[in-house]
Amino acid sequence: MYGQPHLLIRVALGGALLVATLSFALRGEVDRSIQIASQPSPLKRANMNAPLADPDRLKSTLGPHLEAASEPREAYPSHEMMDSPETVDPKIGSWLWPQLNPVILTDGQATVRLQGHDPAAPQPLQLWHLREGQKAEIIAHSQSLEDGGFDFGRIVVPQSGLRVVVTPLDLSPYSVRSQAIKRPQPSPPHLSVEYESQGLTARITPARLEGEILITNEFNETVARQRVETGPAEITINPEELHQALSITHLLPNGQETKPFQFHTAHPL
Amino acid sequence: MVNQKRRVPLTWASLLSFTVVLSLGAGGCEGTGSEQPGRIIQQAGDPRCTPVGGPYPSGLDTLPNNSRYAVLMQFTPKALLAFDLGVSPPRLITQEASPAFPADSDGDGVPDIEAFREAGLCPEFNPLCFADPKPGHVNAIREDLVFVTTSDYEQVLFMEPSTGRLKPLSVLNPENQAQHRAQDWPLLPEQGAAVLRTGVSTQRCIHPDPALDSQGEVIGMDPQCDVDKAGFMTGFTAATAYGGERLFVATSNLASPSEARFNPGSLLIYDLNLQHEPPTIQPHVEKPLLQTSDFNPTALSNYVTPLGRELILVTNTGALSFDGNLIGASGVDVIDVESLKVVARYPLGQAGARGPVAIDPTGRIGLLGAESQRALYAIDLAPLDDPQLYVRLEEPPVDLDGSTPNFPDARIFWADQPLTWPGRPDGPSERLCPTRTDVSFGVNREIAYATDWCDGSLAVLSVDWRPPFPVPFPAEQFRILDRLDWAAPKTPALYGLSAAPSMIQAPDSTSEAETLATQVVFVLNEPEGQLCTANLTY
Repeated sequence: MYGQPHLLIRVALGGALLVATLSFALRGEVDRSIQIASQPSPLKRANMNAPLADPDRLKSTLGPHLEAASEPREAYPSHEMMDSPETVDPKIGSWLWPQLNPVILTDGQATVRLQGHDPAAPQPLQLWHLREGQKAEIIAHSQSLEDGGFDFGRIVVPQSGLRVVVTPLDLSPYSVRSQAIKRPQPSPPHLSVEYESQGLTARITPARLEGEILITNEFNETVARQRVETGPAEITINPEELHQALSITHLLPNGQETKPFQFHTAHPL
Repeated sequence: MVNQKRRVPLTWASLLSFTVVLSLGAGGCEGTGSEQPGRIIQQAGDPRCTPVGGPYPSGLDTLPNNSRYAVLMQFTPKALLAFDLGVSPPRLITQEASPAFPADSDGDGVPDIEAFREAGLCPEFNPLCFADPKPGHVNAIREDLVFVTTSDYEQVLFMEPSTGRLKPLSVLNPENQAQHRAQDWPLLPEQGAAVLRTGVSTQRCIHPDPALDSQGEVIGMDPQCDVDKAGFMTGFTAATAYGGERLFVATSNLASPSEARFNPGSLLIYDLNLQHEPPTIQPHVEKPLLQTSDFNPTALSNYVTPLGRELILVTNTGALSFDGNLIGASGVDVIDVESLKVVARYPLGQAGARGPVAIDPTGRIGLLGAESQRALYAIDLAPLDDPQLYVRLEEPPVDLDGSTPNFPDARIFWADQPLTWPGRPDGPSERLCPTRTDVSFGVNREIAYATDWCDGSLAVLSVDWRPPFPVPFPAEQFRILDRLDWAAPKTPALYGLSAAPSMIQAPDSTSEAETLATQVVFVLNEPEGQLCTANLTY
């Protein structure tokens, strides 16, 4: 009853993905991600019998992270490339690909549930995390049910957002149009305020270490601003500025900004 | 008119476990993805780790009796996330949408900011001040109950790990009796009332003795407290520990960050009945609080001696300035859960000890991390089984530094004799980034692991357990075995890469844990939080 149509669908899906993968490979973007995902962690070690180290032996050993950063960069696709119609032709077999349901992320929500429909169900599926210019990685496995539904459960969405794609096993994540999951609005910075004789000191922990912190008054005039680069920031505002209401906003390089939060009501110290 | 400053960070409490590196003139290294010719390609994410929202997760703990699972407190947006550590990278197992913190976090029916104002906790000159509960330390009490400290709006929240939702407990503010005065707790229910709430307030009046702050100045009166004697309101709720059906809560009582001035540290004591459903919690009426020996208590750990004495170990970091300079003495207080007394102290000098005491599986050695230094400290816990410690009812605590007659010096590494190791050659100078370390024993007592915030490294420490074991345990039997440069050092050229590890823990050595794909779990804090696991076999 079910076997033959399912087989046809799988053959069609395989063909469609083959075309898309070949198309990608011809651009020199062969599927490295699957090989890389199966590599053992460089930190897996087995040196139970190793002698105690001499402290002098502790020379600089670049971690895998920095090795990756220092090596000539491999040509993993950018997000723009992933979205480019030239890279992935949405017409090619798109009706056969597993489709993620639209994701709605509300303010303050930390996680999203990834569910969808797989026309070629049932089959094992994998969820890929695509990073700009980096190796794709599998972050979850699942199985589509006979009714086509699949569910990867919940994942955390970092402030920088996520780009994900669902594929059947052993297929390039770059063969299928990915989905970007973004926060609707950046999370506001955390703020601690201390009043003292020399003014007000605001200690600010932004949700992202980039962009600029802006302190404005009730007329939206800038009272103070400071770049965010390396960690939490501190801004001191002198007593003569405290006659006005003060709000804080975090501006990101991509133009997004947090909702202004008023942390000081107008009064002299 | 406006001073804008960047300063080096300071851990006043677990809440403030974050770093500021100042005035580096890094020249604009965005957190994710920007590339310019000649610059190192940034790699903000680590494929061995699971990203979480925003930098500086505030707390991490494994579930009791099931250390395959861990809970992590995300700082922005605030959310408690549960992870399966049995896979790499860790997998989120929270089954519901981690909801945003409600405006009324403690469930008293009033938004926190209004409750704070209505209780008269704002300064007189700013009656419309704000109070926002900032999450801190995480303590998994049961598989279905996690305690999360919050500061600014001072409290301990009750949360359900499987959903990340707040969980109601029965909170009682007893009638005035013994040492308990209901009016000292402005945000607890009315006197005599027991109500369901999702948090218990840790904001209360303290009348210290002696009434001196960390700079030796006399503490004044607080308008919210008794006006006829010196007092202050608790602040910077830092950590919790459960023992003997009591919940102990450390408050750091930072009086002025800019002046690096601390009021005496306090340990609040609550009766916690976990047998009742829902569990009940109330201030302990006979002894609602203890004053710590040194300033700035930042962490607690529960410890049961080999002979079965239940104790709480308090890490007093000591006063330190906002730029990371250690100012005051540090040490570990030993609280006897039965008598609720400080029975002993481990004076560590100007060490800046941080983090809960990491205890080896046999209970003999306790390790501590360091604030502002690439160092570890260690104490010998063997003297805590001496029954003489617990019969000195009216005498001051025993100092386990050899100064109390008939008691040994049980310090292994302290400020004058720290355990140190070479910094990473390509790491930042101490001036740019005075580092901090966290430490944990592995699944056996031979190996411990320490994170180095500024270098991005994991140091591997070995302990030689060949007898004899005099007290103190010989320092020569500790060695730095290896250093794994896991993450990027915090140097200006590398801003934007995964960096700043902390909160390292090793799952318990249970039969299930031995089958895990991981042996340590830790957090990378920058540029966004990540929860990482690693299989480190030594």
